[in-house]
Amino acid sequence: MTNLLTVLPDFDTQPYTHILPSLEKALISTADLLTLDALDVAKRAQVPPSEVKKLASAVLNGLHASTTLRELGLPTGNVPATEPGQYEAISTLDDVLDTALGGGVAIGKVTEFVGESAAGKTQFLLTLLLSAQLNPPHGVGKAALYISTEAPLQTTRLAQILDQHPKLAVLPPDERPTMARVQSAHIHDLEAQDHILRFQVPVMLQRHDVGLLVIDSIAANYRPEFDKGNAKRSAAESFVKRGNQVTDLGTLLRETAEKYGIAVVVANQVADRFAAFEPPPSQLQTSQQIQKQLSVSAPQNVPILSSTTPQGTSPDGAVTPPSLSTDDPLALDHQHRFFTGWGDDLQRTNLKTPSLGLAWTNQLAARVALVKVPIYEAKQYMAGEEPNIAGWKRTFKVVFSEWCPSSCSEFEISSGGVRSIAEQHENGL
Amino acid sequence: MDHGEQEEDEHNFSTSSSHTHRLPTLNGADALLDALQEHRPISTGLTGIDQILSSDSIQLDSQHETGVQRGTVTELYGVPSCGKTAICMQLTAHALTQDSEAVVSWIDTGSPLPWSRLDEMCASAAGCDNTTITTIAEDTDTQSSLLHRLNHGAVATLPQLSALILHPPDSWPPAHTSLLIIDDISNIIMAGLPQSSRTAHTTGTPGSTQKREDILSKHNALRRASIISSLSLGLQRLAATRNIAIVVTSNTTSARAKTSGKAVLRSVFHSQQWNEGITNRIVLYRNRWSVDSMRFDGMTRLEKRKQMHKETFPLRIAEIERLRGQEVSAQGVKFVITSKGLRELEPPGDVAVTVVAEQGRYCQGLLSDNNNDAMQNMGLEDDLLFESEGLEDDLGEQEDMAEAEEALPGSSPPTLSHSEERFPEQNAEVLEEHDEPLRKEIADSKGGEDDLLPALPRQASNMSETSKHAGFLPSSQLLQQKRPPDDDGSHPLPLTRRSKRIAKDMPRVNGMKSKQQEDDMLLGN
Repeated sequence: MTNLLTVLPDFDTQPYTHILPSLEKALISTADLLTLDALDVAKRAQVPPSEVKKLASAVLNGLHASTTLRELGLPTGNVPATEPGQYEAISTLDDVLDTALGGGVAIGKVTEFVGESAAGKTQFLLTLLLSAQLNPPHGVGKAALYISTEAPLQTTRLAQILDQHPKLAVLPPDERPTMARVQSAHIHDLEAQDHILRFQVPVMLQRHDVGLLVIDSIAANYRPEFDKGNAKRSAAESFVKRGNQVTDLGTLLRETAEKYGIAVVVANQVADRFAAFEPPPSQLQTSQQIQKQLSVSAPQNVPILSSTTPQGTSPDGAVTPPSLSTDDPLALDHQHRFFTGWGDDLQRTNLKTPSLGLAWTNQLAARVALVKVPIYEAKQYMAGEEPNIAGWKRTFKVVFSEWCPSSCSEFEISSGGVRSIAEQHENGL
Repeated sequence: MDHGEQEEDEHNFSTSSSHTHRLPTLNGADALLDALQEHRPISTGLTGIDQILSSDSIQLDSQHETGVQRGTVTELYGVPSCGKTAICMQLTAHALTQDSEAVVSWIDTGSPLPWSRLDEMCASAAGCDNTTITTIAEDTDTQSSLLHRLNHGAVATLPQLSALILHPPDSWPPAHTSLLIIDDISNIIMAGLPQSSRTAHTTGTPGSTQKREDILSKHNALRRASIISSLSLGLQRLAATRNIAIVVTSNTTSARAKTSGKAVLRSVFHSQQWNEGITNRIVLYRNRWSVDSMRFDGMTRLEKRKQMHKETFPLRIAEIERLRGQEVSAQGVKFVITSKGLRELEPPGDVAVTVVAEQGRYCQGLLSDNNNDAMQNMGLEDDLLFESEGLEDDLGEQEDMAEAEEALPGSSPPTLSHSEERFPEQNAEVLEEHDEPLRKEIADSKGGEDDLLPALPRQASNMSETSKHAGFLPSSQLLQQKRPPDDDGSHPLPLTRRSKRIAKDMPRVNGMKSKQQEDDMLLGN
């Protein structure tokens, strides 16, 4: 009954202390108690069946009581004003992006920001660290906890955002967020990650009244773990093990978010993926090709088939051989475009896949992809000349979310944080 | 005889109610009505799916209700945001409006119920619900009060879920429950199953010997199988004994297809133990269709038609993978999700041919041919205009170009108001001219189209009429099963044993995919 007290914290184990150790030794869990017959359990654990029956019914009663089942028997006949499931949210401090997110990053849920390096993930996270401290509706008026796995918290940039963000700069001093309410911690490896998230974070959450937990980034600690050749396990076993670990991590984060009423925001990295062989580019040119990308359209449409396997990829590790488009609509390669954030707008090159694969995707409540596309200078290029990058087009893409529809918005990074481009146009800039 | 009637005759079945020690009988007609009342299926909003799901049930002629049947367990799976919760909400809306006493129970395991969207769906379901024969007090029943009959529960752990399903308390499921939804079931089960790596990790004994780990992992594997099996059978039992339709949603995982070696998506729970309790399984996914649509920026019709402009757009597809306990393959049903509910679409290919043939809408449903309901469901497709290179003269008038602009899905659901208005008269024309449904193969006129094309079953008899109309869409993969020409719409689609996945996408070849190629896509199961 290892998980009895985690499932039913208030369960009174006093009357059953004589059988609980035997049950533990026989590896009987709460689920077993519910699914197996009492006689089987008794035989396995060498305890009297009647006692097992009593325990089982007590556990059952406890579980039923702990499940909230309610009828919407409202006398006025209205749907409840605060809908069960309505969220508070932590704003991104930009109106357009907030609307895209349905208010912001939801409390009690796990949201992922995924993108290439220098796509702007950290900028968003830093902004959220500050906005969480604001009073509702922009924040929750609580502290924030930042857990880093690669680079430590960028305090100078945080200070700069605090100083120069248009919405923060105008606040009176007593309402302004402070750096003092941002706690940070660093995790070096996977074992420490699990331990810290499971045991130390809850303590921190309560001690500092934290409303936002940021983990940047979640995938960093997984890579070295599976790069070392472990002779004891085959590749498949390692993969299954990693899948389980990722699932456990996701479950832990979701439970933490739900239990402590905090928003959990996670940053994730991407790996390259290569589209299956597609028809020649002339057939595929669409108006979606950005006009500025003049000289690059033709060569870039031919997929690059290299033999290097993308690092940290999902199950279909090796590059698949070119096939005539997609035979199977449920092929992972093909379906990737619908839940990764890259590939659903006919982009053929520079496709990315978030790390940790489908197992991790299943754990998320929302995924925001920060897509970065180069803008090339529109000028006459000599043959063989590399196009000059004039700038970057950054898109904030809500790939999927439990509480708002998918959308795309352009944004840019400035000294004061991030801001959407549409807003800029409205301001006449 | 008077004598017999007055005396208590113990040897005859007495019909008076005072003789309660006799076995009360119900005559056949009442029993049938009772059964039909109690066993009304619940529509998913997609007639293609509904008809397959109900294809074995006997219906009175006046009552052509189709959908998820009571007493069955249906699993919906797909990647995040593929529409699982939307279908569950549609089912809920239909269940609540179908019967004024029915109760729906929704178990939430962490994915929230979007209440306002559900409210909207219920409102539109109540508003246009005209296929039921029982009286629904629609005028007195406001949509919010429909939600009174929604029993919402939240569970967080697997033991809680097991306690509910395997040993349901007295108060649950509530009386008159017709539908139970568990959204979603895969995360909560996966989190609660004993895993070898988990156990090794939490016991934290670094000195564990290999032997102990092996014992543990074997034990855990057995336990996993046992727990999954009992949960699945428990769901089945609950559905059967309480006469409830149970719908659960789950996530996907990837598996390597045996023949092609490519990774494909499949349900997280695919083992034999789980399948025992699952009656039906539906996969939801998205795919892209290429449409030669027009750029609506002031061009003339001819220019629009001439412009070789391709846009692809994503559509959602629901495909039945398991039906009544057997693995099957059936053609996917395309749909979109609007604020009012689900909207089934017809394959765009049909639009092209119909437009060419008689400047109107095409009119067939995917399964039933003369099904008027299918036409009402066609919201979007007529707005998807197709262009064919050599057929500009034949294309005739297309007044729906403006609507097509609206209908091009960006990230928002398309508005269907225009097309709906225009449908009725033009569909009527089409029906008159064609007694039989048109099933055409779309021939490739351009070659090299984009990948995703709908597969259309072929109707042998009408090929001559339509084969000359080369749509620009590449040839589609034909479904294995052929419809009999005298189909009157009531035959269910014959289902093949699921041995391969039918390709919905079109490779860039003309004509049908060869059998050889189909065999190459064999998926072991």
